[in-house]
Amino acid sequence: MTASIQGVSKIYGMLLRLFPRDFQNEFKQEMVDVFTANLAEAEKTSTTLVVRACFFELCDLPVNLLVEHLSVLRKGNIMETFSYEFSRSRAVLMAALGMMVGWVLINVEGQYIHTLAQILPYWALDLVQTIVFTVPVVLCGMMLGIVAGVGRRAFLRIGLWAAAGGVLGHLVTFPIRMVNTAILARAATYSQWEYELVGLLTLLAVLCTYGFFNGAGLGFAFGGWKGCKKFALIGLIANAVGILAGYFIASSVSSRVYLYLGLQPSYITWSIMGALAGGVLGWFLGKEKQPKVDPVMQTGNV
Amino acid sequence: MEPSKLKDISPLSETTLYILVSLAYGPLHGYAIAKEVQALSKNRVILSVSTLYTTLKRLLEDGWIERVGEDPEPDEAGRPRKVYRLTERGEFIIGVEKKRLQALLALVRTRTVREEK
Repeated sequence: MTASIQGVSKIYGMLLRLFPRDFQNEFKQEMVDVFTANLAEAEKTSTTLVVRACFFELCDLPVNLLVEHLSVLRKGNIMETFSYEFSRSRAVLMAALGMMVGWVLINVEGQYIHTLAQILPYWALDLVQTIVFTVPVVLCGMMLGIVAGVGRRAFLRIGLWAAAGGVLGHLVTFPIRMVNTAILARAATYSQWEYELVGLLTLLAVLCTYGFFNGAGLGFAFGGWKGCKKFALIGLIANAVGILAGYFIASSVSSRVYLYLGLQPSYITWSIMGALAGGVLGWFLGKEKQPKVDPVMQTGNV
Repeated sequence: MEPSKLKDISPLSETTLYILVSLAYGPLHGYAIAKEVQALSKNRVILSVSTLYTTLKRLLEDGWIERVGEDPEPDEAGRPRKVYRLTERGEFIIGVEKKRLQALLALVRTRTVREEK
């Protein structure tokens, strides 16, 4: 066996690290051995055959990688539920932080959307929007995952289901957003308070629907169908409360910032609304720590 | 096996069927399975290593094949090679697939004969 074949086999071995860990543990060495044997046999005939064997292997690898990773996800990791328990204070804090960062990112993206619109085609822009709008729920899910102390693999499941909820929410709210755009186009015909009311109601409708689907996605990740129903409702309430309370708090804060700095940064509004929505979500999901009961005191056997 | 479960597994993919049939002659190690499949299919089906092992993994999980120790003859690097064998369940699956293919063939033959007439 030549040194070049040994080198190629080593590279192949490195590529096999892309397979799930369990698969690697079970088959990696065997696969490298068979691959090396294939190359050694091809080398006896011609160098072209060696190149062909490598190419053939490379072409087949991505599909099999995908199949194997999907099978890992299918095999319980994605559907499997686990018992979760959030301490209320930590859940509030972490969910609020996740949501806040996510919503600020949406706001930042919103400021560059016109620039992006000049560069990207419409479908790509919509895709970017869809992805960005999944960020708050994904971050919130990750934070809740940290609070619940879930395993490393569970984060993938949480991320995927939360993103699925986010995408679904974005798609479902499409008609509401279209109506809102149509209303805003006739902004000149409204008085200031009518304009603000319409804006708030649309925002409420969009974000409550979002909250519902985002919550459903998170719930599915954390507790299967049962969690899905529970989290969906909590998500809706959290967003409704977060928006209403956040909107009024943020208006007051923004006007004060404007007074002092001469700026009215919209990310303040969004971060307050996000933090409140996340906080409410965390509050509903978390549990108060039960005081430790002394078994001796409980039974009265002093 | 329940008929509903049989519906889920049949028809088998060509790769799966060839691997099962290659093991029907006796236990083989991975490299030998690949070569046997190539020979059985007259060089039509050439398995990549990743396809071979992802399929073997699935067959092992389904209990259609099993590992039976190591080949006494080591590979070129001197490492022992793991040997795979068809299980009773695997043999049963081949039987089911054989019946399905025979029925299909009979149907095609009947149809062709009618059309010829």
